Amino acid sequence: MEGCIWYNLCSEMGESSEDIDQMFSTLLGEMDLLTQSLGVDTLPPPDPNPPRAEFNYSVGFKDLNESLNALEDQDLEALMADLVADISEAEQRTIQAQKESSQNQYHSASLQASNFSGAAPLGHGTNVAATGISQYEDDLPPPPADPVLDLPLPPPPPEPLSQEEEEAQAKADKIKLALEKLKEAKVKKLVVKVHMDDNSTKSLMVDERQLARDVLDNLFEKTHCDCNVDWCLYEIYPELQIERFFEDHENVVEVLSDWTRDTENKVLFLQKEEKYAVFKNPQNFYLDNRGKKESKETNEKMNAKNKESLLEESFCGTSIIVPELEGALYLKEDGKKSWKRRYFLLRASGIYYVPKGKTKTSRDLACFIQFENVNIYYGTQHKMKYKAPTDYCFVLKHPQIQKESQYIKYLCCDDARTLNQWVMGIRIAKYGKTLYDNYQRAVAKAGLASRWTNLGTVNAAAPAQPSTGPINGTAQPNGQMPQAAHSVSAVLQEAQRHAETSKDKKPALGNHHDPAALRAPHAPKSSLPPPPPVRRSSDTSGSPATPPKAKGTGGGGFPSPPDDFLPPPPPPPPLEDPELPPPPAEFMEPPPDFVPPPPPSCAGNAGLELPPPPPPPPAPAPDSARPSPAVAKRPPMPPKRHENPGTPGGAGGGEQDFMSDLMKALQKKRGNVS
Amino acid sequence: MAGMKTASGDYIDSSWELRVFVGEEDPEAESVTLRVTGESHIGGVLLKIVEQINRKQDWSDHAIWWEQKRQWLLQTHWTLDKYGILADARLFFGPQHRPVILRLPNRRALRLRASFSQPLFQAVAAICRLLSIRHPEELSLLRAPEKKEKKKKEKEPEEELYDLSKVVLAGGVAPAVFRGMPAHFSDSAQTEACYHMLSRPQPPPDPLLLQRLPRPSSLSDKTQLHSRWLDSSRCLMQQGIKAGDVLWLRFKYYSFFDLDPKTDPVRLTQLYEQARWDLLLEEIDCTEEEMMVFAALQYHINKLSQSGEVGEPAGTDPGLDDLDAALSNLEVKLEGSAPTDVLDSLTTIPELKDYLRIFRPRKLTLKGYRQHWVVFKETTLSYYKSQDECTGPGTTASLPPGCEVVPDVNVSGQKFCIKLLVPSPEGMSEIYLRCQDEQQYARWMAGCRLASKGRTMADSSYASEVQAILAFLSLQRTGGGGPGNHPQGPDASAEGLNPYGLVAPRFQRKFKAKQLTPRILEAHQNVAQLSLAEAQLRFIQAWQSLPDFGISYVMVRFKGSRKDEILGIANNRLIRIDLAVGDVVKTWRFSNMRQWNVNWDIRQVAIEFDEHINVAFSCVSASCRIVHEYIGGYIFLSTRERARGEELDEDLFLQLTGGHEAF
Repeated sequence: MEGCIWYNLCSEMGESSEDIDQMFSTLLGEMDLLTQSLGVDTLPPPDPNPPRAEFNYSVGFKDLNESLNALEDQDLEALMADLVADISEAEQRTIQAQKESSQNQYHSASLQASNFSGAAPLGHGTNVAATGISQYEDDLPPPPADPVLDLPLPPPPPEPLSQEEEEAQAKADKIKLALEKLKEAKVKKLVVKVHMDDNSTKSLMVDERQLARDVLDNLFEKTHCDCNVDWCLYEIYPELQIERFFEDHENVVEVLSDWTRDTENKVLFLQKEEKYAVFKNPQNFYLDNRGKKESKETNEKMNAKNKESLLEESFCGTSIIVPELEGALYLKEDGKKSWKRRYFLLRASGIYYVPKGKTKTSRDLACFIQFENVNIYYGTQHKMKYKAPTDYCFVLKHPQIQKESQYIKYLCCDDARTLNQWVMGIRIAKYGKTLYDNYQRAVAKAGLASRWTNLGTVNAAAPAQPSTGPINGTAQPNGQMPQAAHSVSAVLQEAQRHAETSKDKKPALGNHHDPAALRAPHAPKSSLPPPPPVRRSSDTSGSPATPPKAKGTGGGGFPSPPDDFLPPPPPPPPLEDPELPPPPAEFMEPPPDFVPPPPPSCAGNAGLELPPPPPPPPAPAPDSARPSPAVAKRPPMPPKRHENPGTPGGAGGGEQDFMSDLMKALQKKRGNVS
Repeated sequence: MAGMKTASGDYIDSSWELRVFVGEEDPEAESVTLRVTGESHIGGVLLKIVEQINRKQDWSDHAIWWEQKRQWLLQTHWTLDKYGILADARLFFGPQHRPVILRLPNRRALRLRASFSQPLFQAVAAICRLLSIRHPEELSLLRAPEKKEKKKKEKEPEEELYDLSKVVLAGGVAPAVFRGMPAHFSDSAQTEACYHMLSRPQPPPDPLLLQRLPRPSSLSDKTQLHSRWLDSSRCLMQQGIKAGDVLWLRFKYYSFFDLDPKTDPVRLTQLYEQARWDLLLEEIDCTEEEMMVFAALQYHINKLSQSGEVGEPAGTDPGLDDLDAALSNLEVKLEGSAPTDVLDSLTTIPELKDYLRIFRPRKLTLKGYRQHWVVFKETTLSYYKSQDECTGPGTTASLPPGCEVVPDVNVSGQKFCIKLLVPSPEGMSEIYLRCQDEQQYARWMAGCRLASKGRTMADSSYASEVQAILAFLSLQRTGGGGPGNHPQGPDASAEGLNPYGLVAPRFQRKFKAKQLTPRILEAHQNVAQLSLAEAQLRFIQAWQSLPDFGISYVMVRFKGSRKDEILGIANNRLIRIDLAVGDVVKTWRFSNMRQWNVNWDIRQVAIEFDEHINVAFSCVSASCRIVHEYIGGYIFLSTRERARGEELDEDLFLQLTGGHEAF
């Protein structure tokens, strides 16, 4: 996959410094050093199909550099920001905890806002925080405030913890952290390039413990989409012309590690209403086909209460009920281009077919496939590729198989409805109740998000703020205050309306590269005046033009990474810094937002400068890269490449310096730009 | 007594003589004659009877049964007039609780005292309380099928009859737990044994017996069972049950609420047993693959319950003890070292090294098995031409999670092959490993299996996996249908391990034991880690996942139709099924049902669904009361969710399932 790097995140920066300034200068110092040594950038040739074993865990130092350089500019920036986010986030929180008392009257309004949004989920947010912190732990004593920060949300009226309490908590946490330390040290991370539905891409850091759900949450934060349950991570295999959703509980890194290195496979972020179709209209899956005389119209509508009881019946019993599904499908014969029609039946234990001359009673059925070791994919355009009778194909294969093989099973349905029923039925049989649990989490997430969004719209420019972290926070409170008051009452109403509007949107099926429309329309459609500003877009599009200056203006708190890294930023000014309420952990937005805070002076006008919320042009990252042609040019091919990327020994050295390498590389490119 | 004196000097008053037989319905029972009036209360009559009998005895459980009216006279404040009793009434003064023999879901017989005077619903609830089965509303009693006399004479194996008839439960108090079982079971060794019988799965049945037992061969056969259900709103006495009769206790409604292995060992076990017998006797059909999973679970459950029962390794193989010891050593070692050096744990992973013969089938090659020095470490196989060369890079194959490990074994032919299907980006590559003997095979096979599940040989399950494989191999050596020569089975379990006892008879006909064994073994690897309760639960879940699960069949004739059809009743729907073909014709869900009525005179059930869909049918194979009770029962059970708790709304149940007393 493009831009995929294994590495251990392990920073040695913190060694001596307990305070942030010091740490930062250390960091920057190292960057300088490294800049010199990184003189020759090399782009590794794509490794032709490396043996899996080698690819498996970490790559050596050399490769790290190489793959690092292979990244495109914006990837680097995003990545850098991610890394720094971990750090600065922890710092900010520390500071914040100390400052909370002073802020609290000042920001009560925004706090309210953040509470709303934040009640959420946070699996991911906390996770990140923990990761970031524990990395410091390697060398540093835990910052006293950490415990507080690990909570997803600060208590609404932030009560400053007493010193003793803090210490006690810190102690307890220390133990916990120490226990996790070893584990943390071995955590692998992967940089994944995710293709948005507008053809842009985002690079994300995914650690090996993250589930698709966590990654989605992360993307929600980055894109400010409406977070509805249809959003999914989607993998496509251009070579096999197959694609499927990641199930929310799947471990992303595990799935990606099955890809070969030179793969053309991609990860997409888009909406698919098929993902949870069964939970929206269970009757289409559970009540269909029962009794052939039943007319289809009666199935189409069902009231909410009946749906609920149908779902409960199907998913909440001692064992789940797999929809009864049977019918003739076309099966592609092994290794041939011909398709044979057979009568298939779905059972919880697998797919069966009726052998020639037999009846469809259980005892005569022959097993076609069981689901333990296969994933299900949609086939696209198999009519062309394999001469399938229709284009409604699905494919079952072991996740590791990446090339055409006789072990891939191709099936073809008569129509889209049947296809969806089979795919959903197989997923239910394979994943069982997990699917329902995933859905419920997705709904919870979406519900919160929609409330949040509406809160945001009511609050005009404010909404994005709390989530964007400290920097933006400095800018925002002023603009936000006046409107905050009525927000609460409005929320529910808005949420409702919002839910309705978002329901109406039915993204076209199957067009993953579809126009930005998918993501953008949300805000305008909700018919609420100012949609939440997608800060990143407006922000980054501006910054590349004036990289050095950006920092001065503050840009509404959206300095693009360059600004922050080149000159060592001043330490966050303690008390008078109009810090925002602590960012709800779950909204943590790694890349640009967590760079160290700009001088506080810019805070005042930032609100005014906030761009009016246009339908947000998504994906800022590419924009920032475009204006700088110098960067786009790729380094020459690497002259040498002898190290075996797989040897674990090599990894040790590489991991340690990874941060600094990254920064250095980044800086270097920056240098080119400016 | 106020009255008049006749000319002959006798008093005339409103009193008359009432004759009451003492004891259960028995023509030769002793009788007492009382003088009563129409105003006498039942309570007074009872007192008089006891006085007349003049015997010291606890009469508290006794009550009067009116034979002609088939009615208990339980309202002691009612007068004889109110009951309408005249001098010609045949009354029996007998105990309300009488012994019956219950045939439990696990097919064991248990003698206990059941109430003959309460509605069956309450009687079953009391039985379940005695047996400590929660949610008695899901169970009911069936009449035992009539025996075919001729065959029975041949050979009636003397079977153990458990007896709980002496045990009396204090009413209204939740049974306390004592020594890991409800206190009333811990009174004597006998009752304790009974509890074990109830709460532990039984060993697999003798395959021969299995073949002899009647199995339904068609849908209409399956309707037979359901004609035998007793009415839950009437008492046993009213339904013609006599003391000492055999009754079947079964889960009647397939809607198991709140199944919790921790609190209901007996319920879980009996449910498992019922499911198992359902499958073994082909009451419910499943596919071959599913049967193998069921067989593997049974094997596993049996193994666990056997080992739990024995308590000490009395009859087990010393070799296995060594393995156990090795296993615990290994565990200790791992546990001890884990916290200190996780990173170094790589080095503690055991590896296998040996000469094996390997075969990798490729197109256009005639090469067969070649001897190689093979090293299996973590989840990777490496092989070299000889042991000396093993320092260099050999050929490696990593076995990722999800690779398929297929045994290819023939014990009598001394063939011990492992077929590996390893997924790779290009597809699956096949590797065959050929081992020399059972021991070697078991070790390598166990390693491969763990690897296919993403674990290494350091996993604590390795030793037990090896052991399981050896056990299966020995099975295969002895296996052949029928009990008999089991060279290494001193304990009874060995006999039970005959694979034929684990599958339905039709698979016995289809496969030889040695074909069956590896398939069961294969399925077993996925369940080998489960605890006893988990395995039982898994079994029940797999049973519930079968498409035909939970359907009770009744033969009916739909209004306007001229042929008999089958009505399937499940917990959420009614299904109209073609009798001959078995195809589903139509499904109606209870959630769409408006009301149902029974016309007791013409024995017709009429149901109205939403959108004015009306269905009416008369019942052929069973009384319409049984259909009515099934429907009402499922409706009742579906109300449980909201109520929570274990309190039963008995009135609601009887209201939903009870019919006209006119019936």
